[in-house]
Amino acid sequence: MTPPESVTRAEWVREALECHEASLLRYALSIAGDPDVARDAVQDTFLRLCEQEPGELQGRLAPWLFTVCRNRLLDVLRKERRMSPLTDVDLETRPSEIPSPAAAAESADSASNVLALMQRLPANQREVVRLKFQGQMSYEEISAVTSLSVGNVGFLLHTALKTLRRQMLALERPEGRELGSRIA
Amino acid sequence: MNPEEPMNLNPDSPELTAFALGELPADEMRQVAALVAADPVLAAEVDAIRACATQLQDEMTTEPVTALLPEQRAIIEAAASAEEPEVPVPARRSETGGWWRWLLEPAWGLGLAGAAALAVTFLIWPRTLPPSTQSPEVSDGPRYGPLPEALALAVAPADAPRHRGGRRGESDVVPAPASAPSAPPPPASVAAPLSKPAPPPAPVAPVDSSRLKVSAGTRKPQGAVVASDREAAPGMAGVPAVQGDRANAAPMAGASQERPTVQTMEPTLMKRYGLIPRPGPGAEEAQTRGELGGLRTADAFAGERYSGVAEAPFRPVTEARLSTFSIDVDTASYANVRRFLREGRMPPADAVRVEEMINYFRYESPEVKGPHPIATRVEVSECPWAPGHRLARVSMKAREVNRRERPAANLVFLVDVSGSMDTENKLGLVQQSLRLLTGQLTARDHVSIVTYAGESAVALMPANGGEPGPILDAIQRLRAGGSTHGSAGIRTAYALARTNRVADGVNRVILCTDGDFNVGETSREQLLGLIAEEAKSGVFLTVLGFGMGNYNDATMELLADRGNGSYAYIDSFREARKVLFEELESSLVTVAKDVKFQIEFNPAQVQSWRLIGYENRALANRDFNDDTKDAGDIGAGHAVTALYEIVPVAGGEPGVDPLRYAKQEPPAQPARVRPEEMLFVKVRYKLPEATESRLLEMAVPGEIQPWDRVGADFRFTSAVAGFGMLLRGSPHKGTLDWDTVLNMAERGLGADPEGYRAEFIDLVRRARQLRGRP
Repeated sequence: MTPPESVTRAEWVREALECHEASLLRYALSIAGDPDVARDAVQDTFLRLCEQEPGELQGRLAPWLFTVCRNRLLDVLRKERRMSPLTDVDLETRPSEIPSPAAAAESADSASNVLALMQRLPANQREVVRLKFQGQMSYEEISAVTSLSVGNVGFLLHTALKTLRRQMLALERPEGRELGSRIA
Repeated sequence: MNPEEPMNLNPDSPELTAFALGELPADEMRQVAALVAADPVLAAEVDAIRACATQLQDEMTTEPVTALLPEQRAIIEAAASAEEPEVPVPARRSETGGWWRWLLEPAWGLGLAGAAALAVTFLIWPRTLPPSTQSPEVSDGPRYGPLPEALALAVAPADAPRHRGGRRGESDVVPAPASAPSAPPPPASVAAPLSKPAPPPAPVAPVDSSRLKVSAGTRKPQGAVVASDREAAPGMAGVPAVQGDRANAAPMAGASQERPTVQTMEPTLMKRYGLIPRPGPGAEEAQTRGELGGLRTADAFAGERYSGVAEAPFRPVTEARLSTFSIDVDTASYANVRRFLREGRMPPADAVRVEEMINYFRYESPEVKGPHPIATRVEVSECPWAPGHRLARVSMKAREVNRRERPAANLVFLVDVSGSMDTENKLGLVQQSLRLLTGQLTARDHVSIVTYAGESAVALMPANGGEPGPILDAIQRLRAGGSTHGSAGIRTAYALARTNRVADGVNRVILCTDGDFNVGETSREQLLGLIAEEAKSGVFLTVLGFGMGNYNDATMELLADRGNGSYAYIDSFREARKVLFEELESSLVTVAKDVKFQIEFNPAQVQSWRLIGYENRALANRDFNDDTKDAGDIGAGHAVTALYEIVPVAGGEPGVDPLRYAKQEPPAQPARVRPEEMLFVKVRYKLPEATESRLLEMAVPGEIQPWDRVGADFRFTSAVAGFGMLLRGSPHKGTLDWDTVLNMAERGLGADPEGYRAEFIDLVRRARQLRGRP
C-alpha cells in the first residue's frame, strides 16, 4: 500500500483494515485462543496504526501490524495469566496443546483438513505457517515479526509443511501406509 | 548457507521449501534450480511442497473468521478521522470493563432465550387420506371466506397485540406426538389451541428495550442501526415500495391459477392499468418443463450459462390467495456465488438463487418426531427491511439418519473426463472428492465408475466399499481427454446401477462434471426423459458441479431435478467435505420425495405477499393435489426454509382500486372468516417408494414475534435472503444495505460449529468492498 499525499489517514486506515483485518484476526485468534481477546488485540493494533504517519510505514505495513498485534497479545496474555507467556524459548520448544487422538479426529471432522492438522503442529511452527500463508509475508518479514532468524523461519516452515503433507496423505488415504512411507 | 561451498541438497533440506516458495536469494535460487532439475527425487519433493503450499494458501486465506465488531470498527474509523495524531482510546474493553460488550452479549443471550421461549411452533396434523377421497369443501376450497366489511375494519393488525409468548423450552415448543390425537381432528379444531397462546411468561421485553435505549445515543447495536436507516429512507418504506413494485410487475408465472375467473381476469386488469403482459401462466408450463428455451440454441454454448430468474412481485391477496411451490434442497448457487466473490467479482444476478443460498446452511429446525419423516414450523416477525411488513419463515426439516443406520449404497460415479475437465479445480477436485467419499463406505456398499468423453468407458466395475484399494486406484487413474458425449455415459451408468440394485438401499448415479454437456444424437428432452424414468425405477441422480468458465448451471440443476436428486457445486475441497462427508446422509438418503408447499393467505390479515426465491420452483396451484406432478425431494437431515414478505391489511394502502366487476361470492359463513389466522400451510410429500402423497397442515395465527426477540436462525435466514436480494439488485430490498445484512448475520451467527456462517459474513464484506454501499 503506497499512500499518495492525497490519501487521508481515514482512507489509509480503512484500506489497511480491508487488507489485513481478517488475517490479523486469524493470527490473533491462533495465539489467544479466545475470539474476544483476539478482536481486542486487533482493535488495539489498528488504533495504534491511527497514531502513525502513513508515509512512515510505507512498504512495511504488514510486518508492522503483525508485530504490534503480537506484542499486544503477549502483553495481554501475560497480564491475564490466561496462559504462560510465549517467550522465544517457549516458541522454540513448547509443543502445541496437542489434543488426544480422539479429539484430534473430531476436530478434523469439523474443520477443513489442513486447518485441523495445523492444530497439531507446535506453536512456533503454527505461527510461522500463519504468517507466511495468511499474512503473505516473506521469510525476512516473518523474522522481523517473530524475532526468529531467517534461517530459523525457513527451518520451521519446512518442517511444518513436511508434517502437514504426511498427515494429509494419511487422512486422505487412511490405509495408504505404503504411499506415505514412499514419500517420507 | 555458504555460497562458496557446493550446495548439497537432500529431500529434507529446508532450502527446498525456501526454493519452492521463492524465498532464496537469486544466486542460490539458480544453484538449487540446477540441482533440482538434475534430480527427479528433489523435483518431486519441490512439486509436493508447492502443492501443499497452494492448498495451505487456499484454505488458510478462506479460513472462516469473525470480523471485528461493528462497534470496534467504528471506534477505529473515528480514531482515524480524528485531527490529532495521538488518539484517545475511547472504548477498550480491557480498560473500561467493556461496557458495550456487556451491552451486546446479554442482549444476544436474551435474543436466543426469547427465541426458544417464543418460537411460534405448531404441530402438523397428519391427514392420511389420499387427495381423491378428501372433501373438496375442506381441502380445496378457500379456507378463508370473504371478509364482511365490518369485520375487516375491526381487524387492525397494526394495533394487534404482539405475540404474547408461547411455552417455554424447546421440548414444549414442539408438542410431543403423544399429545396429538391419533385420529385427525376436523380442521376447525386444529386452529383452536393455536389461537390461544399461553399466558405471557415473565416479561423480558422491558429489560431488553432499556438496554437498547442506553446504547442508542452512543454505539449502534443492531436495533438502532436498523431504526435509523429506516428513518433515513422513509421513501423506501412500505407503501410506496409496494406500489412501485406493482407498476413494474407482471404477473409471475404459476402464481395465480387459482380459479379460471381469476386467470382470465388478469390480462384485463393489466390492460386497464396499462401493464405490458410478460409470459404469463402459460409460460410456466414451459419453464417447469425444462427451462430448455435458454439451452436449445448452439450459440448459447459459450461462457457460463444461467437461466434467467424473474423475481416474484408482490401479489395482492385479492388476486392470489394461494402460493404453491416445490421444495429445493440444492445449495449450488451459494457455492457458486462464493466462488465469484472470492475471485473478486460480483456474481451475475441470475446465478443468485436466494432459496439455494438460504438452504445452504443448517438450522435448528423443528425436531422430527412421530410417524412423519418431516416436520414443519412457521415463525412470523417484522420484516427487517420494510417497516410495517411481516416476514414469515416457513421451515422444514427431514429426519436425520444416523451414520451407522445408513442403508447400503450402490453408487455409480459418472465422471466427465472430457478435455474441459483437465484442471486441478475440476478433475483434480473430483478425484479428491471421490477419495473422500470412498473413505466413508463400508463392506455393504458398492461403487462403480463410468467415464465419458467421446466414448463412455467403465473405469471400475462394481467394487466392494469395504476394500477401498481398487476404488482408489481407479480414481487415481482418471485422466482427462476427448470431447464430451454425456448421454452414452449416463446410459451405461444407469445400466450398472440397475444390475447392482440394492433393495431398500441407496441406488444412485453421481454425476461429476463441469456441465459442458454435449448430448450427441440424443436430444435434451430424451435425456431428461431417461433420467426421470430411471428416477421412477428407484435410481436417483446426484449432480456435483465443478470448475468454472464454461460452467453450465442451468443444465445441472435441471438434471438433478429430474433425477430426484440434489445438485451441489463443489468449488473447493472444503465444499466436498461438506457435501460428501458432513452431509453424506443428506446427499444420499432420500427420506421424502415430491415435497410441495401450499400456503393460503387470509385476506382478513394479509393484503399482499411475495415469496422470496423459489422462482423456478413455482407450481400451479392445481398441481398441489396432483400426485403425478413431480416436485423436490428431501434427504436425511436436510432443512428447507422459505421466507414470505407479507403486507398486512392495515400495514399499507390498498394497492389496487376495488374491482369494479367483483366476482359474486356466496354469503360469508362467519365460521370460515377466521380473523385470528394469518396463514394456512399445507405440505404434501411421498415416502421414497410410494406413489400416493400424504398431507400435513397447520394454521398460523396473526400474532408476531417482535424482531428483537427472534432467534439466531431467523436473523441469519433474513441476512442470507437480504444478501441475495442485494446481489440480485432486487427492487424489494427496501432499507437493506450491506451493513444491515452484516449486522443481521453477526447477530444470527449462533453456535456455527463448522464456521459456515462466519464464512458468509466474510462474503458479505467482500461484496460490500466490491460494490460499495448500495
